[in-house]
Amino acid sequence: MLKLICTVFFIVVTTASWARTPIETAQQSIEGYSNLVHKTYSDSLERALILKTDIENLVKNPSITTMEIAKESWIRARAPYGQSEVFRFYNGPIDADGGPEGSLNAWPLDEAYIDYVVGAPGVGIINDLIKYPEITKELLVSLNENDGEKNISTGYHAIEFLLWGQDLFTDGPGRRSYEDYIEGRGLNATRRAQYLITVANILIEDLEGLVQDWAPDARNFRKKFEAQKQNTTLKNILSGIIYMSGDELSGERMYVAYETQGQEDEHSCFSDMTHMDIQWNFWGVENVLRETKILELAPLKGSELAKNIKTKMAKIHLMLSEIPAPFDQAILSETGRPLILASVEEMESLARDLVLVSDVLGAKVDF
Amino acid sequence: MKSNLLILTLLISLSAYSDEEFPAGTGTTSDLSVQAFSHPLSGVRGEDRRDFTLGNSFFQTSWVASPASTPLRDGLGPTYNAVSCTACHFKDGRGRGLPDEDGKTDISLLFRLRVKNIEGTLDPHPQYGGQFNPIGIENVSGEGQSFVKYETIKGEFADGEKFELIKPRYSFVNLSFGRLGDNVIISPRVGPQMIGLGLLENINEADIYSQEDENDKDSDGISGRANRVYSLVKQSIVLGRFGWKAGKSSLLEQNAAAFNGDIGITSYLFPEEDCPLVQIDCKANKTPDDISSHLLKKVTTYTQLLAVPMRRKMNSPKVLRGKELFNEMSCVKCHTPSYTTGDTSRFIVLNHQQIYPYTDLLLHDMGDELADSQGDDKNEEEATVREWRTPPLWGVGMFQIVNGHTRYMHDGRARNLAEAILWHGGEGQKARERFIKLSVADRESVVEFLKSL
Repeated sequence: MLKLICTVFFIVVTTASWARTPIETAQQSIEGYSNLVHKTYSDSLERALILKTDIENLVKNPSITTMEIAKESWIRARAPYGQSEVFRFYNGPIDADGGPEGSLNAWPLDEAYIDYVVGAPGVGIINDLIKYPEITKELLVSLNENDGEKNISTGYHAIEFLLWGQDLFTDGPGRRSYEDYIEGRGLNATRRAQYLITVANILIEDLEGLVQDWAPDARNFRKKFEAQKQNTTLKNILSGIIYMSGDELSGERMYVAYETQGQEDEHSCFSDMTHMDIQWNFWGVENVLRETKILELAPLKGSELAKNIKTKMAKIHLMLSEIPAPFDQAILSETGRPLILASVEEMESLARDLVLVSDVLGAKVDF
Repeated sequence: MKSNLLILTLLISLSAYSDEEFPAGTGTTSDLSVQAFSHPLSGVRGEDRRDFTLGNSFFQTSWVASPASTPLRDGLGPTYNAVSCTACHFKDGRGRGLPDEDGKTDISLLFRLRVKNIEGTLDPHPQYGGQFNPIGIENVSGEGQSFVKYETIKGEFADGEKFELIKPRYSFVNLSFGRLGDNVIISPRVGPQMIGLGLLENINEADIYSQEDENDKDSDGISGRANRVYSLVKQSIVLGRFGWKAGKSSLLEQNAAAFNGDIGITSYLFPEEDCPLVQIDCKANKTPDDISSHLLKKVTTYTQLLAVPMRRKMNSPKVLRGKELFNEMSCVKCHTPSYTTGDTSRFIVLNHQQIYPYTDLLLHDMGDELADSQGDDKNEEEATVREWRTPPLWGVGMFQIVNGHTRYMHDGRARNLAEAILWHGGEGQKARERFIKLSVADRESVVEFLKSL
């Protein structure tokens, strides 16, 4: 009974504060968000296309140079994509049922599922000529997340593994040789090349789909997203930033690795780029707050809550940039560990504040 | 005064109405997507939430054979059913168990094996152990493969509409250690959904025991009884709650047993893998302490804190009619709708919650068709080959979204919810007969109600 009364009271209070938000302003927030999503996916696609070209060059003409260029392209391609991950967690185009999230960015991946590893030279899809006589798009798509969430055959991290190889070194990333792509030197080099080209093509297709889903003035997801009830849309937007800061980034991507001290728990474990993945993910949260101006909506503008969030955001930005690279060493080091744990705690606290924001806006996110 | 009473009644009914929409109480999740089963109970924060995330990581981990470069995640086998928890509980959901057509059984289906000893009680199989493990690590043979062949059972509703059920017949081939023998008792079990388990664990024991009616004193044809099982942790006989025959009393023990039996991961609770004497390579490749007690507890925290999604279309006329019928057909006599959880959990979100799991957690004789074998032998602690624990119904309407199938019952033989009802025998026979007598519209309503759970 008391609970019910509280609920009623709560509804009245939140409805009242909601009423103070001019509808146009919330709609501007939503449009700002849609534009940001579209731009971020467009940038991701553009850089993925460059990556694809560089991969084609590597495969046609394997050398130290073409390999390094392809790696550099992969890193550049990750920057916008990492900032797009905040657009997950509400069943938008990226992670609705049948969405491409698992195809694009599933991790951690069991590398032995794809190619040889130390101590097992003949394992993986690439080296299994009997079970998989031909490497095709359909095959790799069907094998992704097959019989286990770590059986990953496609996406950024499959490409990463095929460019860097296993990271067996404390002082740097994996050291796959370009000769892995020269027939007669690397075992099954032609199949490996075919695999790499095929996953790059799948990556492009997945990203093209996302760009279309968010294109302006089209009959697509964006149209529905902008037309549905405003507080539903705001709840979606806020779910993204709350789950990214409070669960995905602070928990799965940082705390698990901190706790297990295991290299296999870092996001980009082959390239040692996890320290940047972490920052890009967080920049995604910053981008959403900046482009939507949610903290400037009427009930929040100038409030203590809004001020606290801004202060925390700036603090976290700095803290994450100070975590030493590579992350697989930071989780072991006396200087890295306290910084990681402090960042985790700060992001959890940020997520709690953002839940309050969702409450004030009448778009309460379960968290 | 009268009007006050009216308001009071209205408020109470309103409050009951609003509660059932949230089957897990305050922690219920509103996500109804493919991720619906994968959220921590809403309100879990700070260190508990971190532990949940860490446990999740090990729930998803693919275990590898020892020794490996990933010491926290090695120790697979020597023989096993799957390399990860999530292989059979994909997206924390339910496995399908069986294929559409005759053929190989799904990875999510395991088989317990028993044979009768000279005293007439059941033992694990001498050559294959207590559980069939199809796969072996390098240099260790798996035990074989399991296939299913369906037999069609025809039936008719009272209104003349015909139905068909498919009854699975299991066969085992490529067996590494000889025939299973004619006397083997095979008990198939599919991986169930993981939601709300901590809440089930926190239901007061007295609320379960009070539903027992072992000798059917009320003559309603239903005689539920609790499984009383030995707890390794408490070192005494306690109430069994988890597993298809309620063979485990706590999630810690259930998880440790599943790690051990399904993946070959040993822990302080189950320090040895199941390698029968004849399996020499298996015996030679045993590994102790595969998962630390620390990590086992984190995985347990994970399983305790998984949320239940909210109900859908709860107030549509069809669903409400179906709910009424579910009650009238006496389904609620075993599928107990609601409890208030106890107050002893260290997780606040599990305490004092009004929950709606639709189970009594008791064992029921479910008839010949579902029995592991004829006879009345004890198969798992007190549970006989004929008895099954009433499974919770929360989430049954979400399998399609989360796992892409609508398979039900202990091995996935029912292809939809109506078939699941039609498979009920034994103590469920009367409810089945009432369902058969319903009109098409009412049968649909019952199914709509179940889908809303």
